Amino acid sequence: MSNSMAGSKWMRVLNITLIVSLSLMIILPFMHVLAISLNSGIDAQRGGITFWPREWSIENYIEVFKQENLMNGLFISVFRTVVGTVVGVGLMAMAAYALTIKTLPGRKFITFFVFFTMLFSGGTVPYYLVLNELNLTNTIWVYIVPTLYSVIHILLLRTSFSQLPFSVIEAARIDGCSEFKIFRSIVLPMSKPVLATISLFTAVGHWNDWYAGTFFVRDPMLKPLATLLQEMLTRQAALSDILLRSSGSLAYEQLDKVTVTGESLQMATIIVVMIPMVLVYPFIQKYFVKGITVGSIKE
Amino acid sequence: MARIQLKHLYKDYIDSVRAVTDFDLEIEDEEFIVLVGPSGCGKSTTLRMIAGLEDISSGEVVIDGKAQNNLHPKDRDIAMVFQNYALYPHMSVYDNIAFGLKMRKTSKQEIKERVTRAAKILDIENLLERKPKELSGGQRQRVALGRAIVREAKVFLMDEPLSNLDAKLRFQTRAEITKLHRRLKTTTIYVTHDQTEAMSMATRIVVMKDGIIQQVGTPKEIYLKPANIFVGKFIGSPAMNFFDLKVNDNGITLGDSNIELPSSFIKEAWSSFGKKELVVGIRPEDIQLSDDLESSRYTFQLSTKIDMAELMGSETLLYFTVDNQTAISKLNTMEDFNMGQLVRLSIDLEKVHFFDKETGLRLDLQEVQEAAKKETIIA
Ligand SMILES: Nc1ncnc2c1ncn2[C@@H]1O[C@H](COP(=O)(O)OP(=O)(O)OP(=O)(O)O)[C@@H](O)[C@H]1O
Ligand SMILES: [Mg+2]
Repeated sequence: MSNSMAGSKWMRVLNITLIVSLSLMIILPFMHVLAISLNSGIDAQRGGITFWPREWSIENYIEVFKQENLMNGLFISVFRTVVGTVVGVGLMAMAAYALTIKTLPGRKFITFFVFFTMLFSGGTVPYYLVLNELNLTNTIWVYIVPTLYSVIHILLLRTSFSQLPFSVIEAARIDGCSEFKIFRSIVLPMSKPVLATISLFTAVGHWNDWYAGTFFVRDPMLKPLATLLQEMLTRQAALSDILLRSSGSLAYEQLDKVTVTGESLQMATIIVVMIPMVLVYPFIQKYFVKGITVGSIKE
Repeated sequence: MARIQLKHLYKDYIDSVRAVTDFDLEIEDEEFIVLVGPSGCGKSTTLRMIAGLEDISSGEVVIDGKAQNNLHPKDRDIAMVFQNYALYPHMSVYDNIAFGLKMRKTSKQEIKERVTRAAKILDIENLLERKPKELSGGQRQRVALGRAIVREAKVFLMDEPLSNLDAKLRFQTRAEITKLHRRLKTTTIYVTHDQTEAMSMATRIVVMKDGIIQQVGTPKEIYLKPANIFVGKFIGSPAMNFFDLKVNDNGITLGDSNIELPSSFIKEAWSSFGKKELVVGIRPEDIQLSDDLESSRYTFQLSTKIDMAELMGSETLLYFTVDNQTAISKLNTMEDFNMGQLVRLSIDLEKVHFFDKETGLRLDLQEVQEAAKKETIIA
């Protein structure tokens, strides 16, 4: 008795320590980033800022928002994130559910076929050529269509679906449910936690992806937020690099005007890109509940 | 209201497990059929084939003259209670019960009426807003029943619906289901491995073993005339006593002891069985204290020591040893017995069941007698 009490007490201490350290691992870098982004750029260059700005300034943010097409980029990002996630997760869930049906002809082969693509990738150039052939480059669909299926997510969903109590599905069948309706009204609601997880992964992937916008799209009106900010960062880094290197021949007051520097601008960018996602979390959180199928069948 | 014909059903699972062999049965309208048998004997499989949840390897399921083999479960007019409730965990009790009606496009008003009525019958009116996880086992069970009865389907299939209720609740719900059947008169097939449930609820019992029907009959028939040793052993509690015995010229040998029997019986036994080695089955209540028994043409007496006596309320179970086997007698008395006490028991031979030792099949003294009589008349 006392032994197990002591054991559970140590478990508690261990748990709390672990959770606190994990939280710190996320919060501290975030604070560091926030501090630098709120510090004047030139001053930040001197280094030594950890968790609190030395010279408060919002110039970095002003610079970020000066970016042309920012609102347009935001729209593109929201569009690809929402459409890409909803359609993608919907299709992946359907594919994964089909793979759990034991009577599906060629189930093993299809599963292998899906899994197989995880092992190889064609490389950027062949990938670009394929996108080009499909007339996807320089359209908004280049963000959505190629990312509709993620093998690892399909496999995760399949595992989760196959653990649902099968008799509930059979009960629905007897209750007069069509197979599609079973999927929509029984399987999906019972899988809310895993769907929320996969949706979050997918959404974050869409939101953070700057690569497709940089390489597969030319039209500036089609560039998502992540790409715009990435481009601005490269430009800024290059600019301040030039200024600092050739400072001898340039007037000092000119350098003085450039209070925004690479590092602090970078940090402000990270914050700006991050905030919308952070704001979404509380709304998704309610789906991360455990024991959603409790009470359905007797264990 | 439905008549069900199950024509030579077979079920082979993929890894060549034969779960059901030649299941052949006609079920009349309004019957309450109970499938009973030990775990793994193919009861659920049979039920699932009728429901359409399992492919039929061979044979035919016919409901009201219409072949069902190729119909989706939703197109067979059946309702089913699952061995493990299978409630929809994300829906309220109300929605759980209403789901089947919604799927069949019943009007909102009627759904409400029918759900309310079903909830009243099952006494779960105050639980309608709850989720399954907020219910006790017995309440979940009743929701599962509610989901089935609200549909007013042609056929009810129930797979061990009481198996995880405590004794009292099981007793109550059992009575409730029987009442429900009397009221709705829906043709029902009920699966259980509990022989008491089978005896108390069925209009006819189907006893199964290893996927094969052993006997079909009313509870009385099954109890009074078990078709073979297995059925005799399975139905009845405490179980039937079995002894090997040999018939010889002046009686029977049971282990070491010779029991003398009336010569008329011996003659009959010889002529009707034509066998010397038999198995007898004797129900515990057919072994009584000697002076309790009314006089009968065929009785035989047995002196034995009591190994143990158990008082079961108004009845007493006596344990004693015959031929190195423990035997049980059920007495309608609360008398005290001592261990080692000598008692004289008598057995009514008319109530003894004879089985062929080789095949395990019942040998019916009277039937053989009657057949023999008829033969002589014809002759
Ligand atoms: N999906 C399956 N694949 C292979 N064999 C199966 C499958 N389902 C059941 N069986 C086998 O078929 C036989 C009958 O099973 P079934 O579930 O019908 O038994 P049961 O009488 O309902 O038993 P219980 O009282 O334990 O519920 C068993 O031997 C079982 O192992
Ligand atoms: Mg079963």
